[in-house]
Amino acid sequence: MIRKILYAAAICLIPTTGFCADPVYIGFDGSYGQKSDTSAKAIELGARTAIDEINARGGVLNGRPLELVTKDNQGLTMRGRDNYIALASQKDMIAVLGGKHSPVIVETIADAQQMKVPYISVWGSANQITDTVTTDSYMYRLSLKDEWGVAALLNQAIKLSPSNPKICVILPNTLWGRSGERVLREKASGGKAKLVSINWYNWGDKEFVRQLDACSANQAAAIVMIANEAEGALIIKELAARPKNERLPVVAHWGITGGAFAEMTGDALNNVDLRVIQTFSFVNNPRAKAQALARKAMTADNVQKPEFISSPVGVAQAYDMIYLLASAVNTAKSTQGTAIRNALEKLPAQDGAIKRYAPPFTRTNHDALDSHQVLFARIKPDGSIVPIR
Amino acid sequence: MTGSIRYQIQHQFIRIVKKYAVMTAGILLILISTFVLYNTQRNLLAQSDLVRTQLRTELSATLTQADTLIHSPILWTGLMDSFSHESVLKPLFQQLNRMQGTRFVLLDYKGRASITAPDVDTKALNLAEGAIADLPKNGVVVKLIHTSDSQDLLLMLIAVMSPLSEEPIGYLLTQFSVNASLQKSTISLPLHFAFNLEPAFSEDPWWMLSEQYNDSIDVGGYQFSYDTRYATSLLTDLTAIAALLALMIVFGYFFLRRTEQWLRNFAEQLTQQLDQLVNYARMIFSGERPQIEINASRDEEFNPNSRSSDGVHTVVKTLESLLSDQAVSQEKLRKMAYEDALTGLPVYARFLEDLGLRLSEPEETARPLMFISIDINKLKHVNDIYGYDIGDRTIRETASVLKRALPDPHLLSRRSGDEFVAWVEMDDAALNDFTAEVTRFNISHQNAQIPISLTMGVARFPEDASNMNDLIFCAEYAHREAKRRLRQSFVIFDQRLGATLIRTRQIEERIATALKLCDIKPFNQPEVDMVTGKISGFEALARWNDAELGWIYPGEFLPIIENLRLSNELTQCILSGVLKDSEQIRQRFSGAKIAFNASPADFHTNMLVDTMEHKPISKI
Repeated sequence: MIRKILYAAAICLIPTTGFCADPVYIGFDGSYGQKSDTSAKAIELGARTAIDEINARGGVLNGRPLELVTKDNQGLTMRGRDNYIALASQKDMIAVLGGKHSPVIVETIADAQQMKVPYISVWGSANQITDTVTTDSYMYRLSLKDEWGVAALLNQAIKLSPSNPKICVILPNTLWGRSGERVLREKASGGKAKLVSINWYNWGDKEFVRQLDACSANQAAAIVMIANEAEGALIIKELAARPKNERLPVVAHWGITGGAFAEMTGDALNNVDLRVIQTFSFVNNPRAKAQALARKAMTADNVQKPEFISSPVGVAQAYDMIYLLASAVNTAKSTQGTAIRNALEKLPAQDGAIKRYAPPFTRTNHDALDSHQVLFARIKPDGSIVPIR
Repeated sequence: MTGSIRYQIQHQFIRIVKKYAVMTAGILLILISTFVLYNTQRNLLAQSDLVRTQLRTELSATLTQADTLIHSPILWTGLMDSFSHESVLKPLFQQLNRMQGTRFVLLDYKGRASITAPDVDTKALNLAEGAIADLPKNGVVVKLIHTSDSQDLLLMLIAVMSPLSEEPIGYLLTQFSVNASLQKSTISLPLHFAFNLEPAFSEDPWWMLSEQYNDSIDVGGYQFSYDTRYATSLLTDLTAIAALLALMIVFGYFFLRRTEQWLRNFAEQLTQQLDQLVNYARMIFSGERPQIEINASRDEEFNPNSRSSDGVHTVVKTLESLLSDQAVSQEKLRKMAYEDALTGLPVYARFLEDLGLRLSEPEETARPLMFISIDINKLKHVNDIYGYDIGDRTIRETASVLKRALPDPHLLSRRSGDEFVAWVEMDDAALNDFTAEVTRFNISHQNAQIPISLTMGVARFPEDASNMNDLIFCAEYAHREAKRRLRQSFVIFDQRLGATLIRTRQIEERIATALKLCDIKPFNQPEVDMVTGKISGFEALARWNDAELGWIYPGEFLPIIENLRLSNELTQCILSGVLKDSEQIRQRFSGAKIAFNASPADFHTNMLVDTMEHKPISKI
């Protein structure tokens, strides 16, 4: 609260803006408290960069500054729900951004529908986030959707061994994992890929020998891995320690880029063919907005090269989403949730760092991105994330 | 009378009995009470140990299970993910909570129930939510609730920490039913059990025996302590002890009353019987045989065994028996004293007794008898030549020969060694026959005949002596005379021998005085040289002219002097006389020598020289 007042006071004191009106709030519930997480900070960076830019131009609703209110869900669904409720209860809260953990967002759908404050995923990819409510949904996403994201993972895996598309799957026993599994099964049954082994794990598991043994035993040609940084690092390290013929190439969901994965995995990354799905990269991005964002992000992250910006998708997706929300609030001319929801559905086409949103959302489509944004990247031991050409 | 038996039994003894009965009962009561209470306490300790162990084991096991649970990735995932929460955790908790007793409740990060069970106390859930603020990250918060249905529910709250997060991602509340845990143990004692997290329990009533313990649990880094109190009612024990006490009092009262009664009777009976006994004893000792009457019915009073041989009877019998034994012993002694072991003849004492009786008969009924003193000649020679066996046989055969030869009535006795005495009623003719038969006979020994001869002296009653001592003396005198005469095997005491005896006695009675006064004097008998016809010397001869007895010659008094060992005195008298006479003799018969007789004993002293020098006599 003190922080908020100070922040507002600071804005008021800025002579160029010349306004001192009530801020318009945007909430963010991220998994800050998770030890190795980088996604929450990346999202915050992207959001704040956008907010700063918008506020610098006069804010929204004729001079009201945007203000980000963050909460830490630590990856816990109950905490996420409480955080959403707390944020959504706040006056002039136009929307709440959801972070890396899909289950947290999915768990809160009913609350969002009830509190009527849009809940927008800027990382979570589970289909249920935007698929659960089909009418008057307050759920939006500017991120990867497993529907096409996981399908892309499968396709990438097939590409690694087109002649023998035997795929081994390792995934968490969570809503995210189950969402991925369903897509994989659907796509595999329709395509030529063959899921030879599906292996589950729990958060906090320390050993993945069983899962990798199953992959080898089923003579898989590639592994599709759905994991966050902690478990992902253990899997890759375990794989790297195996004989060369058992070191299957891995196509990974992007959870691992939401944390200090490279740091935790180290040189093992040199010994494993790991590809990770992304929707965006600062590296060699021709878009002006992306480049401008990259500069700010590099400064904020204190890195010299764009490939070293942590969790780049989080930065870019949050950045673009804040702009979309700014448009929505201006369109709605209100901070009221339902007005924002409605405005979001009717936003005009506009440019973002990731792409040109034309339009971002429709009445039936609350997902701002699609499979066209999919790209695969390699993660190097130094932490850089470099797209594969 | 404080010292009487009756008083002692009726008062002092009963007082002692009472004192010791009360003391014994008291000690017994104390021992039994101590044992009962000790046993109850031991049971309580044993049971409480059992319960404590059971409780600690169950608590540890439960806490271990909870610890395992919170470190499970399944739980972490379930707390972080709604799908896993529903599809994995809920069935898992259902499974865990299916058993009776312990309940596991999963709480979210704020302490709200996430997965619970229907029978979890709502109070527990509220308490847990409130306790989260106090909960250390790796610790346990323990609370106790007492439900309305008297259940002690121990709540153990621990934080679920995942490796992904710095803060607890949830909490596990374990509701441990202390009562359900206790039901599993087999407790036979009616044990009152109380459980608390503080050593504060309500005070038990005084009749409860209780033990209190503080136990601690340390499992997986979770530590807490709890207090238990075990109590058991002593009412049953105390009732039993009180009943025992009452029983003892009743029994003791009747016992003491009965004992007092019995002792009173006993004392009465005893004194009566002792009196009776004394009377009986007096009668027995005075030779009467008392008729013993036992009052059986009264005797029953103090002798429940009811034997007819009661105390007094036994004592009387014993006394009689003792007296009888004494008589037998006396008879044996008498026999031993009256019978010579070698010959079977009456001993000398008995002989004397018998002789005494015979001689003490009144004069008109008294019968004349002869007393014979006999000895075996040279028995020592037989012993030396043939040995003591033959010597003994000689004595036995002599006794047998004498007994056979003596006409009845007679009594023969061996006085000592080879000496026999006998009294016999016989005349002189029979005496001659007897002496002829017995004075010489032979004893066969290994085809040889050992000649045995006897010497005898005979005195007659009442002719020779009127009393026993004189009679024996006369016979012995005659016996000695016979011995002296050598060739005569027997001598009968007669007037002549009696006169000799009297004169000898008279000489003995006077000789000491005569020597003192030197009435025995030297009579100088001249010795004439047959060639010259001149008197050449004198021999001083001892002569005693007694005023009453007249002249007494040396043949009479010298043996007496020798016997009485008065030789020195005689020699002294003679020498004094000679010395007195010598001057006159020398004047008349110059050169004449005076000779005198001296006894060998005279040379044992300086008497001769001293007398001649008129000195007192000194020893050599």
